[in-house]
Amino acid sequence: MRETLFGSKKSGEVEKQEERSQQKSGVLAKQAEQRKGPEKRQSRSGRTYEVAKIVHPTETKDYVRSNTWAGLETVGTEEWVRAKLDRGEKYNGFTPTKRATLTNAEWMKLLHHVAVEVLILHQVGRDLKQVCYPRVDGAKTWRQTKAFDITSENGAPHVTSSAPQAPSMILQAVLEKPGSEQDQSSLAREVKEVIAMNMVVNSEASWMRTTLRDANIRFAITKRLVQLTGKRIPDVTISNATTLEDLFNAFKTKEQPKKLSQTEQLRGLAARVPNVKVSSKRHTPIDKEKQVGRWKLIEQELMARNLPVTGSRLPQAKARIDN
Amino acid sequence: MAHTSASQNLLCLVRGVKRLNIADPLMQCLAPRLTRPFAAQADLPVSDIVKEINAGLDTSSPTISTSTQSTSSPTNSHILETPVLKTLYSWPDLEPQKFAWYKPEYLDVPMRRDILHRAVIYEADATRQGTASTKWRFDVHGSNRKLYAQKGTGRARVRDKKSPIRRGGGVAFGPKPRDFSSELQRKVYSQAFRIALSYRQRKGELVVLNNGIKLPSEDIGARWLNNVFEANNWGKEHGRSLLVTNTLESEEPRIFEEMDQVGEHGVIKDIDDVDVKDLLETGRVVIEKQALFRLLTKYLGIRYADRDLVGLEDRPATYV
Repeated sequence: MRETLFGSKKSGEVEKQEERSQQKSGVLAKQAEQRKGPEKRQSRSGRTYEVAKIVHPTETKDYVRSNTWAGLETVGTEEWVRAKLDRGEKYNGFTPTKRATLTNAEWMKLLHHVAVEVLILHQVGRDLKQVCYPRVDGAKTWRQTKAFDITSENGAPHVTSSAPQAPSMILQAVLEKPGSEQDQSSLAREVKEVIAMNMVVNSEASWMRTTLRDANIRFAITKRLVQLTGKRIPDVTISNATTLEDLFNAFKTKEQPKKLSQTEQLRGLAARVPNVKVSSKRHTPIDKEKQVGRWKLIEQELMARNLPVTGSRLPQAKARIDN
Repeated sequence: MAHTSASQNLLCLVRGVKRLNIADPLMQCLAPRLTRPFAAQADLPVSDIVKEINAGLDTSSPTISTSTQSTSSPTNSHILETPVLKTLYSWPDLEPQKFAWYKPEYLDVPMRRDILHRAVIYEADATRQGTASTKWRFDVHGSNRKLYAQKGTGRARVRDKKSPIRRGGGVAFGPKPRDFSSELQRKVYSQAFRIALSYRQRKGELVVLNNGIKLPSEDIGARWLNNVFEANNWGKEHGRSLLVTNTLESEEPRIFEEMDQVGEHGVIKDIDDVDVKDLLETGRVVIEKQALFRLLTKYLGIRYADRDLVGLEDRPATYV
């Protein structure tokens, strides 16, 4: 009776053996799975995708329930939605993903740094395309370019430095062949360090007025600035630019006029078209009275009669300003 | 023999010039006409840069047959104008590869809104289906029997029951399927393309690619294109973009199908399909350099081998 109710020792042993063998085969199956990799299927559109493994917490021994959300996948954020839609189709363009917003002084420092690098390569006779190649590991060319002076010699731009080793240091840092792909983080670091440099910049400086007639130099400078900051300028501007100042004016953040009357076009209107008057505020009937000189009298009389000076919606406003 | 009043008018003019006050802003527009000597030609300021480029462009253009020369404009007409500089970008990473210089009579053509208008109307007319159809009185199914006697009834005279006045009758002069296409001179239509592309170039809305617009691999599709548009600020928030490719849709249909799914950001068209209206619609035009050549020289009969007549890519010398 005991045997029928609780099972015999033999049957218990057999059961235990079966369990052990099942565990072993389960482990083996898992190992085989891990070796194979995730299962791949084809969607209706013909694209192959990996099937996610379903993990049962009760069945896996190495499952550890987390107490915080650090390191876990956050579902529903913008990045998650974008990554899910992308499904691995990433696009890496020439420009950095985040466009740099710099002040005018920072633009001047960056322009000086890039112009010096390009002009050094030009002076030595190297291909100007190399300015966009990755730099040698650990090279910080901005420390050397800071001390360079840009001048004009026989109409052509020329760079000189007080430190004799500076040109060779920069030339060594610039690779002649692109060994690896450009690293976006190193470009961002270069911009950050250049704009943080202690360099006195002045828009009236003589180096801004150096002429750049060589199209290759202009191309190299604009290409490097596009690579570093992501800001592109129109071809018309590049074509019309003859000096470094023109390039600076193209790249800098222009001040937006707060009022329409402050824009260039309307400010010059008074000189060009004398019969047109531009005012920043709406020309109200009160302004018309003020022009003639009647307003102070009107105001005095209204106040004497205890009437509202502006506004005619109130029932007791009997006096109205007629044009 | 001139009339005596002619000399009197001339005297009045001379006196007027002496009394002219050029400082007065209202009189400034009259000053050049009255102060320039008779039949004098004004010298336009031409910089050395322009002379050098024009010399380069003239020497680089190959000797061509008279047929092509008659269709293209004379080579000396651009002496006083600057060549148009365009940056050539690579697809898909948009890396500036080099400069190209185009002759101003192709990419710096003056604006002619009337020609653009004519071209757009011509294209719209050609697009019309013209399939509106109605039944006139003799198309309506029914007998032609005269309903009642001509005279003697006291009522208005009638013929058959299909009269447009009657219910169930035909339509009076309703639309019939017809061809709405109009004609436009080939040279005018060709000029419209150059005007539209010049206008875009002047506004900085023309991007020229050095290589062809292609999808990188078989796996890559609409999502990648969406990322390209968003990364380069070509998409919905920036006015959408038109991609123009030299490869026909019949040859490579896949990229056209994938772009259909990204219609909010832009549209792709091949050179046979692109219109003047398409070039003016979107926020910018992204065009392959071969496709640009084909559009600029539409109906001009210039071969791609003679593309130096339109623009130069590799300029060996610097222009100082």
